[in-house]
Amino acid sequence: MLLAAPRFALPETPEEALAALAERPGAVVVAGGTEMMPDLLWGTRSADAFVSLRRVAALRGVTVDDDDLVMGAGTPVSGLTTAPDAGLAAAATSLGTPLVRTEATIGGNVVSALPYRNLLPTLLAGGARLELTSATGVRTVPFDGFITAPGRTRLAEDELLTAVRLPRHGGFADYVKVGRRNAQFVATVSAAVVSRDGGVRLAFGNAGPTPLRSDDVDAVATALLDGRATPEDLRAAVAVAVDPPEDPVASADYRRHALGVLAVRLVTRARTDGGPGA
Amino acid sequence: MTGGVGTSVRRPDGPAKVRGEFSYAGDLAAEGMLVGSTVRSPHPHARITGIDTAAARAISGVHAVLTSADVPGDLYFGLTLRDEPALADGVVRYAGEPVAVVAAVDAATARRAARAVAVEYEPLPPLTDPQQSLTAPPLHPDGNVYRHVSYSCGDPDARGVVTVENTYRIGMQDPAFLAPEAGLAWPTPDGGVALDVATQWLHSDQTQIGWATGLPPEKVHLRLAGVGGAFGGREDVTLQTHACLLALATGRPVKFEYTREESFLAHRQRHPGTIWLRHSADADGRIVCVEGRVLLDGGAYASTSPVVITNTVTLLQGPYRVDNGRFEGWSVRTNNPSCGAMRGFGVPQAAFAHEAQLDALAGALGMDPLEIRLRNALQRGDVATFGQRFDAPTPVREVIEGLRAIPLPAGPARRAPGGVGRAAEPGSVRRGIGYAVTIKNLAFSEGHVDESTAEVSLCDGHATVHTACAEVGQGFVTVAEQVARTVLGATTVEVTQPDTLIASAGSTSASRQTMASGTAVHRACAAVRVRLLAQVARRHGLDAAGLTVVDGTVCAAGRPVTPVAAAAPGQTLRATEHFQHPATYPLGSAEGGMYVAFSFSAQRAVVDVDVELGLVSVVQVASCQDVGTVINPTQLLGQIEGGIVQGMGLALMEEVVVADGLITNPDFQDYLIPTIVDAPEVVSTYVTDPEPGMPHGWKGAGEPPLCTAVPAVAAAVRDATGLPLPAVPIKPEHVALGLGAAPTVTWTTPRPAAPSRAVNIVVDEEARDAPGTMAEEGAPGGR
Amino acid sequence: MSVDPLVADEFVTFPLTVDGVPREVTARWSESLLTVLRDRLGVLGPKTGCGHGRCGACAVRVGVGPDEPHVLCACLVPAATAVGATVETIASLGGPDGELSDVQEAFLAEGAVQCGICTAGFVTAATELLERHECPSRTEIEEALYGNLCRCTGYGRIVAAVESAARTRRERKDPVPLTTRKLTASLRTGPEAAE
Repeated sequence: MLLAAPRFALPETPEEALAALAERPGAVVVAGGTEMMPDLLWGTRSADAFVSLRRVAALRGVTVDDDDLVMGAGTPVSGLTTAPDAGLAAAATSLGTPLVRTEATIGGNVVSALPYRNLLPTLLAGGARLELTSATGVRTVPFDGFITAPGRTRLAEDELLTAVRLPRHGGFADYVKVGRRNAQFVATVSAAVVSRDGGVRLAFGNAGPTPLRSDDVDAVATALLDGRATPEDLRAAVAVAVDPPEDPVASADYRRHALGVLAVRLVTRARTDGGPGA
Repeated sequence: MTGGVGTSVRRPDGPAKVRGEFSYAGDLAAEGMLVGSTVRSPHPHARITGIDTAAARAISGVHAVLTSADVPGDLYFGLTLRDEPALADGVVRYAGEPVAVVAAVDAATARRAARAVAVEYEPLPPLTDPQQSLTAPPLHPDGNVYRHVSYSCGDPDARGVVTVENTYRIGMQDPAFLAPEAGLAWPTPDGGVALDVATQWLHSDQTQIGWATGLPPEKVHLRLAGVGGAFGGREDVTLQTHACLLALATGRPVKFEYTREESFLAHRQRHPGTIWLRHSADADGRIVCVEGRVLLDGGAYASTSPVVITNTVTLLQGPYRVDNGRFEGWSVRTNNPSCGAMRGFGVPQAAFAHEAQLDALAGALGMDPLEIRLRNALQRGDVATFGQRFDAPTPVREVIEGLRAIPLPAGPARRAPGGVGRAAEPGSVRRGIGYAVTIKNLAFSEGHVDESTAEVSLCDGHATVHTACAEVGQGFVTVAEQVARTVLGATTVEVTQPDTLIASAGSTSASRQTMASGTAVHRACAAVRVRLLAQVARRHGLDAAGLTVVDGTVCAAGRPVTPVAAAAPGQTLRATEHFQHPATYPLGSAEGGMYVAFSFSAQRAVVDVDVELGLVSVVQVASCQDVGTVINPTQLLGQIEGGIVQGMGLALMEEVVVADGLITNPDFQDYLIPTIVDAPEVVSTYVTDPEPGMPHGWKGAGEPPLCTAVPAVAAAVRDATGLPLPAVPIKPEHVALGLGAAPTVTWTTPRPAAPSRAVNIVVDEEARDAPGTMAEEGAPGGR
Repeated sequence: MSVDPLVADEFVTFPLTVDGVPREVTARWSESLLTVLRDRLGVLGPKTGCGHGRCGACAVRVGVGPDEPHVLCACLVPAATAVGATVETIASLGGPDGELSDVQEAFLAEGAVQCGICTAGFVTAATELLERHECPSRTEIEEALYGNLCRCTGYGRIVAAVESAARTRRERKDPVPLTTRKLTASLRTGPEAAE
């Protein structure tokens, strides 16, 4: 433990972190702080204590095993911009700003659980799984379904998100997002695609209260890849599947429209760049 | 001369700024300093039924909690109408209105104490629709209309062959200067108070602090602290009075520094507005008649709303000759955020609307957009719709021709629309080109005295320049130095900290400080030069009338006599000079014109638009501006580029979104200003036709680039999409979903102006048109 | 600032090295590095523009633990998580005896400074960029600097300054013939020199 106080802990190992958390009920787990600090400033969140993962070396870094890209939850987003997954790399590269990405972490992006967070559509399209660690051990759960509502997840109070596993694939992956300026923007909507073995999997950001995907949409997207469906078919399927918010940034109508456009463009890119069935 | 007028002299404050050593208002500190915090209304409209400060006072470290009951002087202040209480007076009229202020030992304690002030509100229904404000019960004893302006010229019923009309909407823009409001006040031994503050106008602050504190001006001492941008947003008083009241109440120095959120709540924004315009033209595209009506939402308190509305209404004609017209406008009170000065001061709104109309006319007549503008271009000697003769150079044609000479950008764009989001596909992007030409009035108007005073001293070649002109980043300090070098031959120049020990310089606004304070400095330098030459003449037995200063050397008939630095060893020569522009007069006055001077600007924007998604990338903006003369090429370019990018911000992304009286985006995550990725390449050229009566022929340059960029960028997006886009900022959904009504085009039987109708303008006291008819009469437009 | 024993559990004490000087900090546990630098240590080079990581006026270069030092927004970092870190502000960027770095010099020469509140952040970020890219393209400059907002300049002179500093650095390493340099200089006076 690098620093411990009644309402603050700076552990160096996952075990220390779990213990520190257990000793400080109501503590907020912070990693880079890039989401927590503005929330504190604006009073949109409060914290009785901090347990920081910033110095837990075991949680920082990316490794590759036979099946997965394994990202420690404390890995900074700047460490993902060259990840061997084009979708993840694109999502990381357009997150926040260069000055934010060095501290923002993949774990923070996941656990903050807001539907517009940059990395989430990529994780959803890629079939990512999450390693959740508690004093009793590690459980691995699919990212799909982990977020239950804006800001809410299935993470238990005594658990830490310790790693994100993104299956490796030889296919095509990409991520795009739309906003109101050309850099440094929260996604009005976003979309990710993974296309492999003839199948397409799409996922959408800010298309509903949680990151969203749909078997129906993927079926039409796959058909579009094969030439069995038209772009209009995919737009229609997306329009049915999504339930985007209406707010001062954009209307739900625009978001629905833009999500359809992004879906078609991503499948088109998969066909052009990835080759059919790549 | 080296470092003189016309050269790209570096900013004298630049070295400290690049080192991070320049002291801004937010960096101020003093021994024993307390920190101030403000209790603000969460309601846009409410009656205050009780304020209990006991809990806040009881917190350890709290030194004072003040409410309106603790204001010793006159509670009310304001730049024009004095309708705003320094602290809420029983009613709050906008969300964020200061209700109480606290001083405590540190920021965290002050914030905690502010939260502990218990204010009981009885919420009242907020009036947030400016249209309804005109007929609603008054929100304030002073009524709901800040100013109604109405006048006509020529025969407003005259018609050409084609008439186009539409209703345009402009969103609320925030000045978004990057250093939030800050200042440090302390009690002075004379029983008065001193304040170091980031402001645009020291003497206006001094006057308004004097009202609230009950102190005479000579006991209110202001100095300019380092200012991190202003753009109009620091023209009104925010924390100035509060800091001084608390310093006087506690006997300690008190510092305020707003957060970004508080900055959005506290300062004045650009007026959002609705403008209906009807242009009629003959078959050659010559404008026969213009009719326009404007409604600006002034928000809760007057600020400069009575002045801004006149700018918007009178400049609806644009830089075009208009012989026949009828113009009317209102600025009104609502429970929305107070609006006031922002760079352009009512003109960007007018420019957006009149330039859309010119393009609509050109489209209806099948004319080239520049050709129709050239055909209507104002010329020297023409008379404005508001009666003033353009008797100085009026190079509208020249700026258009200058713009046309700039080549279009070659090659593909640097970045696709949508930028780092990577959503665009090459096949989905369309290029558009748009043009705009604008007129901007320079300096204060309608009888508001526009003046400044400078004191210059010279000793052994070192000049010291003192004015009250607020340096807010624009570079007045550089101009003053250049003038002292050129006029006085000074070797080194120090521009001292502006304060209220010298007479007012007026506000750093209205593109006016080079013209006003620059001229005062020029005159003071000239006066010192006279004294210097007299000494040299005496000493060398020469005729003073034959002496000149060239390149730092006193010369007689072209031959060097002595370096200025050695001309009067050890002596300090000093002069104080005042400058005041010729008087201006209210709209409709027979005595003279409303405005001091004008500047004209033409721009061409090139954009790439992802039409399906509504994403825009501004590729290039080319500009040709009427600048009088170029005083400092680099600084001038900085004004042009900076103004263009602020204008494109308003055109494409910047909007303070107010829902039920509450700002939904008071931060930089959701209030978007352009980033370096959004900024276009700028090509800037100038028409230099010296302004009569001004030393060096200079004129103001800061506002026109913004005014012109708004319509130019919007026109380019229209060109790329074929959509009417009658509202700014243009949102992606306006493009992607095709929102917004097109102008109504009507082919009419020509009706020449009746010869019996006077050419003179007629100002109506009463509203000519019922304002409620605007939506019905005008095409729907907007969103 | 003194610590009230009643609120002692709000405070933590930890070391930082700021611009080469070891400092002992006592601060609230949730306090940002920016607040600690400015309000507790009186280090005023990093500026407060937004306080929420959007403007970059508070950019400083920080080395935490084994990490390569990198530029970040000081307002977003809970200071206590940076225990033992080295913090380099704008004060670390100039040369000895107050001389300006090449980037600072270029910002001055090209007119990239107006109000200047963003300048320390821009210079800090641009300095890091030039350490990584000797010859950044305009796109690379933009990608490195879009976390820094400027409200005055419209960014044109800032891009020019970074390009100029990069050019100076390359020329110093690999001097070009005088004639080429003259030509470049005359081209660069371009449009702004008109009239």
